[in-house]
Amino acid sequence: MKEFFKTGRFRVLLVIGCLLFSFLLRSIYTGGLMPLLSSAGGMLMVPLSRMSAAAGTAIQNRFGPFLSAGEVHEENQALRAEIQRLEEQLIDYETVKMENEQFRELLEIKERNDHLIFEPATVVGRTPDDWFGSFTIDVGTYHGVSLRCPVITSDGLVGIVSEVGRGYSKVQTILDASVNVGGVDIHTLDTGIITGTIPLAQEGNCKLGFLPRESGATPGDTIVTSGTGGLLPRGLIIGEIQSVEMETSGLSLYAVVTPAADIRGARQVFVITDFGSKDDENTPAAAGEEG
Amino acid sequence: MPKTRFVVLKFLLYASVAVLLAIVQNTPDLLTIGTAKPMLAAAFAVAVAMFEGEFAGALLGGFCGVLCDFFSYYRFGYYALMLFCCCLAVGLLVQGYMRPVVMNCCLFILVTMLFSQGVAFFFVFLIRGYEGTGMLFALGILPLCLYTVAAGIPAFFGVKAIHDWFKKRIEPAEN
Repeated sequence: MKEFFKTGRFRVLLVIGCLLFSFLLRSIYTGGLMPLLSSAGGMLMVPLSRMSAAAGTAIQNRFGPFLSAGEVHEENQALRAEIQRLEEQLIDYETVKMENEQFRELLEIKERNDHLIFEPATVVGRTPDDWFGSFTIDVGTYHGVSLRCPVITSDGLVGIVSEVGRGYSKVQTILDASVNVGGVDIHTLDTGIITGTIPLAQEGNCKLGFLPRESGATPGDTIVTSGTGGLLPRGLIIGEIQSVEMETSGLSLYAVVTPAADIRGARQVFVITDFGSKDDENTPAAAGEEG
Repeated sequence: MPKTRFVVLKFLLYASVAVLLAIVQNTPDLLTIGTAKPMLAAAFAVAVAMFEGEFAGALLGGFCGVLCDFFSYYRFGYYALMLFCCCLAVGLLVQGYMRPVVMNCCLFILVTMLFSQGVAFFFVFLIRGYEGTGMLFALGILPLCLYTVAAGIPAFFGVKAIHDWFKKRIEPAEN
């Protein structure tokens, strides 16, 4: 083996190793803007992955029910209970509808949504080291996507673009411990920071932290983006409070939030490429944080 | 057919299989058990390094790493560097000290996965003091490593078959 370190082959491998290390450093330094190599490679991988994802979906649709019959039965029971609960809730529908209209008016969600520009995208890859439900989508800079664009489904916020190539982007979800999004409780108007934690991510939930001790947030309250900082539009639905607990420090409360969007099961998403109050100047520099 | 054509064909085949495995491993909902999915391209790269030596193994390891990086949670280039180094070490160990058998292949894949995931785990999660890192290691990283080891067994026999098939054609050509 000692002879190997004196050969020309070793020198060639050393040069390649240094080159790979420099790619990694560049990727870290640019805060997620992928180097040319990844963008070029993405042109090959993304179409193949799109086909593979479509094939995977077809297989899942065809054989999924047979493979999870027990699960379907349990789900059926749960859905029956859910229907009963919803029927009871229907009685209060008119009142809730009126309140909902008031909140919508209050938050001016409708007006703000008029300024959103969407880019539809398909989830083409979910990596094995996917601890927080992160995924790859088939749109990139070519489609107007930039770093930290919000990604949503029709149900609510999913995450933000963390790396972007010419024809594809990687999305970090709101379950991720390194993602911070400003959130507001539409009932109490208490604001906090939505972030992930590892234990909550295992259950598919995230956390609304830094709520004041005197906060009136209660389970069932809806959380939307606060829009503070100008990186995300205001009023995107994040989810519903499941429980409210005291931080270990005792200084503030936090709420466990169940995301409205099916983060781990999402196949079709929308990237918000632009909105009225978007602050482009903060976009590349603010990697890892959102106010 | 001259020897060089067989060699080129063999490595083209390895590269194509690596691309295919990288796509399969990243396809949503495919091969998922619980929340774990195997890193097929990494297992394949280690198996190739065992049979093809340190130089070709390291290059293919780097290539498979780049393929993994396209979809990875970590920064682009991380797996390229990790698999490049691990496959280089595997190639050197097999050339000098260990035999290319299935048990050794499983051992190499386990060490490669634990090393690559462990370094990332340390720098991305542990050092930042996130809550529940032990849970992530036990419920996320270990199942990933073990599933990849299991996927390494067919990868080993597949690579062995390709290696032997081409060896029969390359060696007579040399004579």
